[in-house]
Amino acid sequence: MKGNILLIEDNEQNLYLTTFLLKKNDYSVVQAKSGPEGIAEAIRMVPDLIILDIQLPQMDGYAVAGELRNNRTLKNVPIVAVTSYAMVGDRERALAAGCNGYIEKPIDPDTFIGQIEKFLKAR
Amino acid sequence: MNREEENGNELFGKEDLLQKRIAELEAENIKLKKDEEQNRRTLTHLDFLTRYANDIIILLDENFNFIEVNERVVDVYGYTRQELIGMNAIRLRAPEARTSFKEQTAIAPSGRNLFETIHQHKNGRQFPVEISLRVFESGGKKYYQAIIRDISERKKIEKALRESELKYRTLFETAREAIVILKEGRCVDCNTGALEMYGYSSKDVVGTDIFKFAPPVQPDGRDSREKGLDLIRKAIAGEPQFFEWENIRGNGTQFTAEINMTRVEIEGETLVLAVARDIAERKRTEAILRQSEERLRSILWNVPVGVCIAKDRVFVSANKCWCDMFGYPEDAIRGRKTRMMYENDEEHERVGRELYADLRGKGKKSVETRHMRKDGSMRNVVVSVVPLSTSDLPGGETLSIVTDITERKQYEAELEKYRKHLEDMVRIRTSELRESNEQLGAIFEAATSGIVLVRDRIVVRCNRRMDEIFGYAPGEMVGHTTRQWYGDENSYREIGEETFYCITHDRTFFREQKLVRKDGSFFWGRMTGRAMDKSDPSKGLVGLIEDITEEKEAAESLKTALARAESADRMKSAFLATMSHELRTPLNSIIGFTGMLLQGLAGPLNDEQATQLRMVKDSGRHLRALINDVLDISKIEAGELEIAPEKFDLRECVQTVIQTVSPLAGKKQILLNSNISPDIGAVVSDQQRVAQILLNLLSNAVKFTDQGEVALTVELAGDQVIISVSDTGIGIKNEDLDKLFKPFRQIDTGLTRQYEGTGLGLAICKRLVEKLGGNITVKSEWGKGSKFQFTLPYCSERRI
Repeated sequence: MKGNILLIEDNEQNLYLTTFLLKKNDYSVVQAKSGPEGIAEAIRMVPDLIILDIQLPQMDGYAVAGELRNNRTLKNVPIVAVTSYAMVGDRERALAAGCNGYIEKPIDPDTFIGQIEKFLKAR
Repeated sequence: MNREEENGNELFGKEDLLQKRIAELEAENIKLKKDEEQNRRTLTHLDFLTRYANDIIILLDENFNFIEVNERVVDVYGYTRQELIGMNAIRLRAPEARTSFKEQTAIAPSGRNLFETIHQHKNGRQFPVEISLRVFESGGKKYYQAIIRDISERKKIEKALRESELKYRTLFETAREAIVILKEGRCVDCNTGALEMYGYSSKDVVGTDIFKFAPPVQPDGRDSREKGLDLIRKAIAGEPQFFEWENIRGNGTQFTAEINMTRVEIEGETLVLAVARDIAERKRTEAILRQSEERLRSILWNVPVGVCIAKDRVFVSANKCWCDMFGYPEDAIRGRKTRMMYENDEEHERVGRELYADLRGKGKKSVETRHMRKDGSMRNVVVSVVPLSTSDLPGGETLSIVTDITERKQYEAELEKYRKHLEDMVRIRTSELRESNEQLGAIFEAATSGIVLVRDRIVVRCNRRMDEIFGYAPGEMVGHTTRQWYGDENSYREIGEETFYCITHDRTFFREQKLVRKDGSFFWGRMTGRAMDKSDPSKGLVGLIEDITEEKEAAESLKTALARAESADRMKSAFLATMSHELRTPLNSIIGFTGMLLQGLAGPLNDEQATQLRMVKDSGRHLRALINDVLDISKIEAGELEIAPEKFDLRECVQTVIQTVSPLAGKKQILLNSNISPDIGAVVSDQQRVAQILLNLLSNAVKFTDQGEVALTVELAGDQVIISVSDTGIGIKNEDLDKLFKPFRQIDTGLTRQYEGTGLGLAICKRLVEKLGGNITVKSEWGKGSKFQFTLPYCSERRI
């Protein structure tokens, strides 16, 4: 097992796709389908990395990242935002909210694992 | 006679010898007779001698009773001879002189005594006498002889002498002058004045060398002793000497004295009497006077006013200024007639008449005339005359003060000229002003804005337009408060405060305000106001009012439209964001799952399946590129393109892009050469955007090149990084170069099918490059190839 990853994503297809890709690459994946659920899971398991979709219903990714960063036990857990660059300042907002980096949507299976590994190493 | 008795007595004592003695007596008798005769004669002589002597001669017995007196005593004392014989001598004395009688008359037996006392006439008159008393014995008896002399006269003379001497001594001592009696060079006597003057306290100076009281040398250079002795000699020779002499006091200070020396005879000695008077005070006064006179003369000579002194119209002297004024040498005018200063006799006389006639009256007057300089030129002058002495006019000297007013005259003339000129100017200016005023009035009335002059919030004046705006009859507003313009008290007060602040702080008041017409209807007014005179706020303000109701309404509708547009824009952005998200989500699945399938993660694929899946994946990627481009250009058009500068390794970034493109190039068998200068390292820019630009240019180059090569160079030039992408592709026609960087304009649409793309790439590149602070250029030759080149600012440290 290369590491425990918490995946916070509301879209079923994307959730499936990313989970499948990570598991095939020897990562253990815990899924959360909303912001509050993700936060609860993160506190519970303290993952090695959190992949966080920004476009979430109710509580968006920025708010989730802010909450996660406020938790001391999760201080050193890298958070990678997944964003579609729709609005001005998305990236800055993601970084300002406490994310360590971002991955552009749609994810590309050819490069995605490489990007994930980079963040894990940098931890 | 006394002797006869004596002889008789002797005879009585010797009876036995009588006979013998008779003979002798006879003989002696004869002799005696002779002697008696002789004696009688002698007595007669003596009687004469005594009786008529001027002195009183008295014979007294041993008890000082008178035995015999001479005739003179009767004269002197008034007693008869009979009264005196037998009287005691003491009775001749004045009562107060009697006490000393015994003492004065006591004398040694053989002695003689001389004394003075006071005697008294029978009638009581007293007088001093000198008595010479002598004592002798005869026949065993003591007798006194007294010679008495009346010394009244002598006493009187003596007293007079004493008084005289006292007088002179007093004079001598009390004189303020120093009086010194000299014998040769020595002081024999001196008075208190001398002691005081020379500063000595006692008469111990008497007997000293007088040259001790003088400096060694006198001001004339002569030796004091030599000069002094010379003067003394002359005085002794009978020439009184009068001279000034330098002296030294006891305390060493020096002073000048005036000395008068005369010869005097004192007790048979020829001496010199020197009287000295301290003239220091006089000298000082003289010096002050001299100085004062000197100063006056100097002032008179140097004053920058022409001054001359004349007598009977003849020059006596003139000062420097006067001489300079008229060009005469300083000493050349004495004795010359004042006539020489005048053009003609008439003028000379007129000036004389006016000046001197008046002198007798008020004693001062000025006359304006013309004076001739030595060189013949004329000067305008004012002459004032003051008499130097008031006594003997017009014969006395007069002092004239001459002022050259030639220049003043010229100034006056010029001033007059200027004044006239100024008057003309004022006249012209006045007419200009009137005209200008009329013009201004016309403008004032013709203005399309309301113009008003307000003082203390009261309308002072306004133009017709103003009345129109507010709906009043012409002039109706004048004299009324501006309160009527406002709908409520609050606005009125607020505007009052604001305008007051503006006019007192030299600001322009500006406000758009709802105002009330006479009929009560509202309109929007744009009010502008300024102090009439910024240096004096009390002069009120000039206000401008425009009816901007229509403008206001137009602005309102514009604002609504803008708000609507802004809202639309926001909706567009939101739509784009949603679209982006919504489009990407299915793409995520398409690209993701095809990718994973192709990777064989879900199990092995046959070749046909793999080929078809690859096609799906390529289409997905193309779609992703299209979505990204459309999104980018939308953002660029909306000005929302974001740049995130960060420090990154440019070399690494470039190499990553090359790796991305190289499979495509390899597939087309095109050489992909890169040359990155060794000094290229870290830069601060937006890595993702730089990669995007580079990828775009490189993939374009590869896309449009069928054979040959694509070359990439990265080099540093000053503060810029130059990145060039050149190819040996189809190139671009000259006329198309302009359109190249415009969106939605892929060149030669016919090729679209051959070279897939949105046609947005270069437009995006250009905007991105510019946004990153560089520029992009292209050079191309149709059919031979193209070279795209862009620059980036080279900054190795993050600055933004």
